[in-house]
Parts: sequence; structure tokens; C-alpha cells
Amino acid sequence: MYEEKSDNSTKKLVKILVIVGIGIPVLVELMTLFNLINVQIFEDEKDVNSNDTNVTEVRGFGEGDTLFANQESAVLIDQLRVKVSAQEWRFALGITSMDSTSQEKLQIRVDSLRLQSKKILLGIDSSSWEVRQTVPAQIYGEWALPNGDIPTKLFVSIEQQEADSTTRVSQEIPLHKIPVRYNQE
Amino acid sequence: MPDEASKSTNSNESGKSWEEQDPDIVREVTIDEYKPYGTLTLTLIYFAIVALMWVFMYFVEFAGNAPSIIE
Amino acid sequence: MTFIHKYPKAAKVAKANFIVAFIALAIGGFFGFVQALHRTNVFRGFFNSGEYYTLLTGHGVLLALIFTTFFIAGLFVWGVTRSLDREPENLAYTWSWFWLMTIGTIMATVAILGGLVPDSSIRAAVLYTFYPPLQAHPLFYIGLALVVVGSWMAGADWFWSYRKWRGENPNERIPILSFMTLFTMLMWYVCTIGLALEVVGLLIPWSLGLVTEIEPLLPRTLFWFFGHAVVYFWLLPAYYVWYAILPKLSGGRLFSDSMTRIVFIIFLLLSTPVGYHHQYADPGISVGFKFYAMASTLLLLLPSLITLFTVVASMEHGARQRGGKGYLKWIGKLPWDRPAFVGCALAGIMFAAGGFSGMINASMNINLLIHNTIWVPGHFHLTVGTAVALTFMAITYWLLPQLTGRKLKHKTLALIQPYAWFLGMTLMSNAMHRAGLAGVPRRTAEPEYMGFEFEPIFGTMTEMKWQIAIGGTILTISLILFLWVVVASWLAGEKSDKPVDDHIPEPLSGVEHTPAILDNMKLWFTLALVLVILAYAFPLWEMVADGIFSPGALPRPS
Repeated sequence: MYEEKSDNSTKKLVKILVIVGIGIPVLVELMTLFNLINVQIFEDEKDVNSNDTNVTEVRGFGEGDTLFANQESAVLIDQLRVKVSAQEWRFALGITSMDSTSQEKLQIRVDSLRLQSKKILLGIDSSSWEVRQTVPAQIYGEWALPNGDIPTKLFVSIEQQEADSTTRVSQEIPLHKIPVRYNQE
Repeated sequence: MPDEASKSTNSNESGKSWEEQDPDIVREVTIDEYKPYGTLTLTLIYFAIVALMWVFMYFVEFAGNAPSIIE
Repeated sequence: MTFIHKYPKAAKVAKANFIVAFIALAIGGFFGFVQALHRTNVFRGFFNSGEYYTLLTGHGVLLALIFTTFFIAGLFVWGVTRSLDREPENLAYTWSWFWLMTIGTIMATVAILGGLVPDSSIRAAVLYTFYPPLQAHPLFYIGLALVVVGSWMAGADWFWSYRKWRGENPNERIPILSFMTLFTMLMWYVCTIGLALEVVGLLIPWSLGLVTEIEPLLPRTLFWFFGHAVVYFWLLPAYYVWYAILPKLSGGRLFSDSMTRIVFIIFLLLSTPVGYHHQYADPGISVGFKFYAMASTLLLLLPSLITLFTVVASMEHGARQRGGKGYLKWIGKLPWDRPAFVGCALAGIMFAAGGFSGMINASMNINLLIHNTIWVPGHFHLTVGTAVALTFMAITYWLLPQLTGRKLKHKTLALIQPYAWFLGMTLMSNAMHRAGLAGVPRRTAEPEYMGFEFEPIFGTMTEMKWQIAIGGTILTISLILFLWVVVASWLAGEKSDKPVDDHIPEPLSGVEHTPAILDNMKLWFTLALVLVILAYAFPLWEMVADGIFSPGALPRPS
């Protein structure tokens, strides 16, 4: 037991300590609760709307999307993956032409791809770029990625050979989230 | 039953309970006269907060119309 | 006459444990301060971001494992000796467990601090959970294993005292202080089976290079077999203080002896088979077992709610004896000017708040909202960081005079300390919870990402960052006050025959109303084992069948 009875100065100190040491914490927590409920319940709709507009702005292309839709020869992304194995990360891309009649005159090229880290990989550097099939035109390529990096944009061009001329159209394709798959090898 | 009081190193004056020796204690409250209304009040406040947050969770989880877990 | 005069040998053992505990507290606390400034980018000049993980490991291991274990050992030596009225049975044995734990602590600490020495090959930046494939120097794992073995021996020491006492008092009920000690240690024996299997069976051979590959899911599962019960190993001694000592500090008596025993029994039964609730996001464990763990976890709220009731009722009894009236007015009559009381009471309030975020963590669906975010450290700084740590600090103000025979010095500083801790922790933990809701990850030296902004639900990230840094600083000041008061009182406190009122009155509803079956340790220990086997046997068998040392085994989604 403490012998000295709490004198006036101790009483004053306790008062200050209770106000600062317990009062401020209670205030902080009440404000947090109020703000949470306020935002979640009363500002819900506004928030969802503003999010929606953001999403449509940044939404990029993904597997199954059509490129050059406004051109004569549209093509389809039929594979878009990041393949992960213990050794390395590889980006795999497959493109197919939609229209089997025009394919002989069609050439698809991936000029370059831009990574999350702002690095650029050139399409021609790809060692395993192969033509899978000619009818319909289908190409497939893989790039070794720096570990943990993901492509964010593709620069693709198609060349359409007409009777007398060649039209070349390039497109910048922002990519949606790319599925990352673990490769067991 | 081992009596903690007898084990205590406090030099108890025999016959006097601990409450009677402590100058801060105004009166001894026995178990029969003790009614913990204050505890009941605090417990109800605690449950009220839990219930309020439980209701609030409905809005977080279901009424927001947005997935809370994004794959 | 106080404890040291009556039981000088036990007092020496308890003091030795406290010295190690407080050194660990000082180092670990300093690391916490550095982290609070580093990850908020307020000041990053102490160490570089690579070394952050070494500090984080040091903070977790030194505080959550070393400070707690040694303080608990000191506290239990005090309680067992006092309630059974006997010194330790064999001092050579008692000191051997103390030194074993201390040597283990030094080994683990050297391994961790090695990470701060440039070009050192001794490192252990594996964080408190030491998940493979993060690998530490063998010194770290062996050191921790020695600490655990030492703690087993300590438990055996208390059971030894109990058996001797039982021989002399065949018809007595187990005194409440010993009851709480023995049940806490029974729970510790159950849960450390998992840790022992993990560290000795997997991690030590792997870190020594005897095996080269290790399956990641099995050691994680074994860790959490131990990892949730360990939080109750920290918490139950705080409950021990709240049940046995806090009522007296409030001026009253423990409300009910049988409630106390029931609570400890429920913790023995349910602490271990809930480990999967730390693995809700782990693949390879079926949802059914996670669900079983969730149900058991929510059942664990029951003993904590019983505690809320019993402890508050005991405090109210004290307040009414001190002249308190009304429904809430009595709270003002509690001794808010005594540091030991204030610390325990504020720790209890913080624990009630920790219950709120704990319920969210425990629920399988909403856990995923906050999984692996800074919300989680925000939560456990309320529970282990305040409910446990502040209780231990506060009760030191009451125990230290009994162990040293010296009065407490600097009572004003000692009084400011718990209030400062409460303020600092509210600021820090509140901001950590909110930042977690915004998705800020835990265990990250630089939680900043290019081309990405966190979106807080309300407020700004800058405001949260400063709230964490300021809260952490106030906590550090509070810690320095505590250490200063302890060192000054220990070395220069006024010697006295009765430095503190150490009398513990009998409970209001005493042991004579407690059913005898509650003291049946064999029954409850067996039941605890059965529940653990139900929860763990099948999944563990599956994982082992999958190949213990084959990391290629596919985690199977359920």
C-alpha cells in the first residue's frame, strides 16, 4: 500500500492523464467509427460511380478480345499468359486471324511490348516466335521476362497485301490483367 | 482449502478482515449484498457495440454491391 | 516481511528471469521504434531497407517469444512458490532450466543480430513465423529449441512442487495461483508438440544442409499448431494477473473462483485446434478443416467474455467497497492514481477493443479483406502488445518491491507510463487497422509502389503514416519511462520490510463452491489431446503422405 494519500497535485495529474491518455483515444476511435459508417452507408453510391468510370478508362485487352475490329482483317488474342516456373517468368502470346479467306495475304507482327517497369522488349528478339498454322493465320510467341515483371502494352501491326499495294496498320494495345500460371516442369 | 490470507506475508491482525485494515475501503461488501449492476451496464454497452458492428458488416459484405475479394 | 524475506531462493530465480525479460524488452522495443519510423518513411536513416527484416525478426522474436516467456517464468515462480508455500524443490534443477533458456536466447539473438553485420554469414531474417523457404542460420533454430526445452523443464519444476505439495495436502483444492499456472503449462505442452516437430524434425536438418528441400505447407501448419496457442500462453498469465491480483488492486475480491477455473480449462481445450484460422489463405488445407477451426475460434470468445464479466465484476466490487455508487459512476472510485492498477485496467480495456478486430480476423470470409495487411499487426499490438505487455509492465510495479524488498521509486513517472502506452497504442493501432483496410501490406520495409496509390476508406495515407509514427514514438517514451522506473527502483529503491501490500484476499465466491471435477487435470488434458487429434490428424497425415521433403508437391485447392 502506498502510504502517502493522493494529495491535490496527484489528483490534478490524474485528471490530466485521464483526459489526455483516455480521452484522446476514445475520441479517435469514435471519429473512426463515425467516418466508417458515414462513408460506407451514406456515400456508397457516389463512390461506386466514380470507381466505374475509372475502370472503363483503364480497362485493357485480354484473352478472347478482338484487335483491329474496324479493319478488314480483324484478329483475335487466343492466348495471353504469364507462365511461371522455378527458373523464369515467360510471357506467352497467341494471335489468330478471324477470317480464313484473307489470311494468305495477312501478316501479323508484334513490334514490341512494354513492361510494367517501363522496359521495352522487341518483338523480333523473340527466339521462339513461330507460325503455328497458316489457315487461319495463327502465330505464337514467348518472351523471357525479368522476374516479377509483367507486360502492360503491346504494339502490334498487321500487313494486308492487296492486289497492288500493302496496307500496314499498327495498334497500341493496353493489356488488362494477365493471368499468371504456374508451370510444373 | 488453503487460505491465501494465512499464506500471505502480511502481518494480519487476527479477527480483522483485509477490508477493515485498508484505510481506502469505506465498507465491506459481502457476496449477498453485492449486485453488480455496473458490470451489467458495461457488458450491455459492449454487446451493443458488437451488435452495431455486426449490422454494419452487412453493408460492408453484402449491400455494397461490390466484390470484397478480387481475384 | 514480503516475498523476498520468506522465499529468498525463489525470489532470486524470479528476478533472474525478469532481468532477461527486460533486456529483451528494451532491445525489441527499440527495434519497434525504428520500424515505426522506417516503414512510414518518416526516418530511414537508422538501417537500410534490407536490414528492416532483421529488425522485424528481432522485434517479433525478442518481444513475443523471449520477453513473454521469461516474464511468465518469473511470474509463475512467484505464484507457485507463494500459493504452495514452498521454495523450488531442487535449485540446481531450477537454475538449469533458467540457464538453458538464457543460452538459447543468446544463440537466437546472435543469429538475428548477425544480419546487421556486413558480410556476416550468420543471419536469421526469417521473421517471427520463420516460414520456409526463408532460411535462418542453424543457431537461430537451435537457440529457439533450447528456449522451448527450458520452458518445458520450468513447467515440470512447477508440477514437481505441486506433487510434493499434494503429498502433504491430499485433500486440499489446488490453490488458484497454482491452478492457473499448471493449466497454462498443460496447454503449453500440447501446443509446443507442433513447434518441436517443425523445428527439430524439419528446420534444423534443413538449415544444417542435411536435407536440401522442404515442403512449405507442412512446417507452416505445424507452426500454426503452436502459433495460436502461443498467444494464449502470453495471454493466460495476463488473465492470471487480472483474476488473482487486479481485484485486490481495485480494492475488492475476485468475484468467482469457479469461473476462473472454467476459463482456464476452456483455453486448455480450445487453444490449439484453431491454428488453421491463420491459414485461411493457404491452399492445400480443405475448407472443412478451416471451418472447424473457425467455429472453435469463435467458441474461444466465450472464455474471454466470461473473463470480461468476472474481472469487471471484481473491479466493481472493489469500487463499491471504496464507496462507489450508481451504474457507471463507481468507475471514478477506482484507484486511477496507482500505476499497477491503471496499467492492468487499461490493458483490459484495450483487450476488449482487440476483441472487435479479432472477431473479424477469425471469420473466414471477412478475414480475406484484411489478410496479410497491416491490419493484422494493428490487431495483435492491442492484444499481445498491450493486453499482455502493459499488464506485465504494470504488475512489475507491484511485484518488483516484493522480489527486491525495495520500494518503488518515481511513482509519478510510473503513473504516467500506462496512460502514455494507452494513448500511443491507440494512435498507432488505429492507423494500422485503417491502413490495412486500404490494403497496405504488413512486413514491408517500403510499402510504396510505382504507379499505384492506396485508397483509404476515409482520411489520407499521409495522416495515417504520421499517426503510426507519432504513436510509435509515444510508445517508445512510455517504454523508456518503464525501464527507468524499474532500474532505479531495483538499484536504489528504499529498503523496507513491507515495501508494498502483498496480501491477496479470498474470492467472494470461494473454492468451496467450485466443483471438484474442475481440478481433474488428467481429464482435461486428455480431452485437449482428443480435440487436437480431431483437428490435425487427418490434414497432417495428408501432408506427410504428400512427401515431407518434396517441395514440388502440388498444393491442392479444395
